[in-house]
Amino acid sequence: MKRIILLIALFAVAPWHMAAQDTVKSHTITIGNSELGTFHENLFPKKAPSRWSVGLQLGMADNHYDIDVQYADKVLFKGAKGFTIGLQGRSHLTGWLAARADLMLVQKNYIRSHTAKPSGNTVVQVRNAIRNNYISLPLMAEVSIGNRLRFYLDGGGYVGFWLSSHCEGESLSMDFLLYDENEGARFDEYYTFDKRRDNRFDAGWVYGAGVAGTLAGKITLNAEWRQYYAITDTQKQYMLFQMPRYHTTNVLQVGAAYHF
Amino acid sequence: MKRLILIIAATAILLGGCRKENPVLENPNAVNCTTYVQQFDAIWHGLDNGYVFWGRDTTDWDAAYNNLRPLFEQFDADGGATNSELQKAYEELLLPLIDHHLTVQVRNLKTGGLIYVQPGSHEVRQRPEYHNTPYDEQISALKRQEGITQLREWSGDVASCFALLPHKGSKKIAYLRISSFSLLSLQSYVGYGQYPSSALDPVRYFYGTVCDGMSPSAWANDNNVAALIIDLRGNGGGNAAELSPLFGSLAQEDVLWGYTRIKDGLGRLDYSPWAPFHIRCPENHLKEPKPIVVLVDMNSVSCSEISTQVVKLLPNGTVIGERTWGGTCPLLPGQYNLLYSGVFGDIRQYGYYVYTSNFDLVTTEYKSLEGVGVEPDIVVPFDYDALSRGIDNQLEAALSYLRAL
Repeated sequence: MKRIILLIALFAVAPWHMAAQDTVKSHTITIGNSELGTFHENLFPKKAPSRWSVGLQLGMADNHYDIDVQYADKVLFKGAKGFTIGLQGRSHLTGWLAARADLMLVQKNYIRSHTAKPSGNTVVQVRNAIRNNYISLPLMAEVSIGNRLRFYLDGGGYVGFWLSSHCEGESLSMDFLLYDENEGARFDEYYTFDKRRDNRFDAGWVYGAGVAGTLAGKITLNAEWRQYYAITDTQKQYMLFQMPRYHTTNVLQVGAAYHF
Repeated sequence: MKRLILIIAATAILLGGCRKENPVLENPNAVNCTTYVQQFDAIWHGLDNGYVFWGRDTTDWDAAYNNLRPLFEQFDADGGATNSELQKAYEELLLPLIDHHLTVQVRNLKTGGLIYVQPGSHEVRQRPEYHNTPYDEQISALKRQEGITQLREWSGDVASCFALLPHKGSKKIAYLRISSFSLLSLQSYVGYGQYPSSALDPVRYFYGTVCDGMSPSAWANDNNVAALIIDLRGNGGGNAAELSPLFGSLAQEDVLWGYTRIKDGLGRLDYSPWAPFHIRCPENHLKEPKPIVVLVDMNSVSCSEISTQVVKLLPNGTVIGERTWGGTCPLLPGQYNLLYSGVFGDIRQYGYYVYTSNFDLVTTEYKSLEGVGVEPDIVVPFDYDALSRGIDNQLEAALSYLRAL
């Protein structure tokens, strides 16, 4: 966490210091009275390597479903992993600032478990794995340092759409409870959205940090961490005293981009 | 440094502040109520979170809250309400709901009187052909049947009757009437300890255990029995565990009745996926399919409706009588903290009690019968005038149907 704060601080302060010391060959980066170091001028190239770059990226998504179960405390929600894949695009405004737009398929998965004692002292737990596919369009500002190897931070907002949902697991069925069967009813199916409840529009904040290196000429490879922080409830406002539910999704992804 | 802190703080506030706050909900299963509003809130929230029919019930529950809660606040402000005022207020809240099992009891904090609201009963009584089920008169009419043999009956609130009636030649029709699905429970003394053991004898005889060979299928397997009549008129339902031994035994394999789902969250539309609901066929089942008629009326409810639908699903089954009550969805009392739906509250301890379903049940065509009931294959309205003359027209219709096959 300290590293992240340090990185944020670095990128927040660096451009201002750069502007003040633009005529010198090297630059001293400070935070308050602390001197972080002196960097050569070409760490902050004034000229963009190219106007545009586009590429592919893919990675792993680790989702957390923020939901308050209130008194239903035998029902637990646990984050689950999924994948992400999509396109990345940058418009390089200066050597250190770019506008970035991606088009990503992001899985926002979670596991729901329900622990119960249907009869006697028998404790059972049914488990449901829910896979949610979202298409997301993050729009971000990206600041970077470095030349052949660049470190960058990006942040902005995203909009998205809940494409599909798939459920797999067991449920506390009537058969299960009536006949003392060993396991609940198995299901493995796509979920049919309920227009009254399900809010398929998704939006929120997105931010991350990464590193990019030039591979050969116009090709760069990048690796980054990103967090999608939804500010839209996965439900429409359809009832009083509604418990809001939000996805928070961490993504580790790698990509390759071509510079035009 | 201050600028940096401000930026980070602003970012954190921006991110976190965009999410809505969670309301705080109290478990409605156990709320110590000292005011009318607390009672109202416990019932309203309990149904708001746990009522299993929000997926199909079109009642504007939020409007009910906004419109009626001030009335209960006024009751508190006025120092109390009369029983009729409280009855009227809860009827306005609850009567639109479709759950035909739903029964709400509330103790009037001022008078100590008990308020009962039953939307299902209210709806059935509104039917133009409404009638009660005169069990004794119908049994008397049965006894007048020519050629009746093997009559065995036990009276009481779980009354039952068994008889053989003439079919064709020496063949017989086995007739069975049960007034509830509490018979096997009675046998094991679950909740019925007040009955003398002799009261169990007819129960053992009629249903017993499968190993006693006295289940309906044992009669049906008698080569002399050509057909069966199961009379569920006025049957108030009971323990779903009895469905399999009593009606699964009439099939030759497990019967897929339909699908159930439960609430899987506190949101009104939080449901589990649909899961198959079977009526299991026990080993000692009816070996050879024989014509089966189920007699029902508008007072056949709950398990008797599920049973009726089982027979309707059988190729050799026919339902005769009237559209049933419409309380088809099962419930498991005492499981609120398991399923977060169904029965909650305690009239003695907390001053309110809500009896409602746990499972949303639909047929194999995903059709809900809740609030609707099972339609008979052959409609035969109740005829009290004929019954007063000793003729049970619905039973006669069943006998004629079977004898004509």
